[in-house]
Amino acid sequence: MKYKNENTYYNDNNRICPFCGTVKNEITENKKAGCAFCYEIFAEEIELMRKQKYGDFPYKGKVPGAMQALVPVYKTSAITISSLSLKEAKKRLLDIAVREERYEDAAVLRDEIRELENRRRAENNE
Amino acid sequence: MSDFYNDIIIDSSVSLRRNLKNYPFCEKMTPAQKNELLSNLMQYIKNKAHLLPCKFNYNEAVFLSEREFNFLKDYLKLENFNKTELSSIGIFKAESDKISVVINNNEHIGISALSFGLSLNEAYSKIKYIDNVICDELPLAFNNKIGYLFSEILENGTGIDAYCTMHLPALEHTSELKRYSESMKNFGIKIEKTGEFGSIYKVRNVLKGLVDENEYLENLTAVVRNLAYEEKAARETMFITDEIKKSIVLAVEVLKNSMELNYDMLLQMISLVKIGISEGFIFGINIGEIEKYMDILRDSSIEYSYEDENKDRRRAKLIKSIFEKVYY
Repeated sequence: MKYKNENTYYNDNNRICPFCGTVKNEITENKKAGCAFCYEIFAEEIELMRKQKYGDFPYKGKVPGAMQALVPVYKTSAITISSLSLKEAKKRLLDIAVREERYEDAAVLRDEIRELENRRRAENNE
Repeated sequence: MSDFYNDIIIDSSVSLRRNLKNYPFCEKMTPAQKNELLSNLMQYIKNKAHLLPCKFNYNEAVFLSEREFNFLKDYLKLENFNKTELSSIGIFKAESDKISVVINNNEHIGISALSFGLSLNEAYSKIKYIDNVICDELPLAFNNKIGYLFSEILENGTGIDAYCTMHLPALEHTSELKRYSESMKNFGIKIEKTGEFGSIYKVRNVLKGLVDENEYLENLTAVVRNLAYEEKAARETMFITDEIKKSIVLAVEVLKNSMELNYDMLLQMISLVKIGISEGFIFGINIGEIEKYMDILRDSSIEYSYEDENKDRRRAKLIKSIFEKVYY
């Protein structure tokens, strides 16, 4: 199994959004995304679908208030969620893998989480 | 409210859909996430209440009785509700206007307004203001290239949805409506009949991806105006025969004298009466008044207001008092 970049879990069969667990098939077959991050994880596929339907027209409508440029990814005045680290992303993927009884994938993720924890401990000791 | 052909254009509905970027979209949320989002957004909107243009009352859908829920749904013309999946859905309803903010139904935040007649811009300006107050400081699921983001990949863009409800008996009778409907499909306009009776149609702009909000509403307004002209012309040149006039007079008599009246029959009779008013041989009531009364004559309104009554009998009593002064 390979990693496309440190924010996605990528293997030969499926790419998975680490935030909501949406897989590539859901995007390409059902044309449905699970969250805003799917639009980054599956950017190529989504852009292709949109170009096929709408051509290359840019968005012309309302842009939300000027605050948007300043609001960090996960923060609001009422709701705060700490930023999703690679370790947390892998933990979520581990939960999904166990739920779906993909035990081999779960074992790989468990080992990777341990490796990250070991690496962090080693850095802290230095 | 617009007077333009208000005997043909019943009302205008505009809504805006928004999602937040730090929660999965509604279909993917766990019950715990839905509850958390509902609780947070409910408190957040209540904290902004002093900035909103009118007072809102809040209800959590799952705690409403079936009568209360059906009444709200019909009164506000809320669409796409799954009656079996009401948990963690919150509804803010304006006290004195047909405006609603719904949390967790298909999208995280849905803002809608309904106005009488052809008044798309009026409805849009109400919800645009609420959108600015509520949504501008939230971390929205938004992309500069695509626009507002939704679960349906090809629906992204402005998040606006609008339709006009129209009364089109003449075009329906002459089958011109089918031809018009087919030709309008290419421009992203969908004309769909609501229910079996009453010749009531929803004319909706489904082309959302390519234009801004104002252009979207202008396109729909132009189509609705055209359709209204066509309906008017069809009524004048082809439609009002002696047979139709007799049916209209009979409809008035049925409404004045019925002991029981179900909603489908009411729609048929009212459709004929509206034509009579529009063509100038029914007096004592106008179209605007009829549309306001239709709100209280629906099944859900009668069930909500009169708990133990036979609703068809209650409806007939209400109609009798409304049509007391109507004559031809």
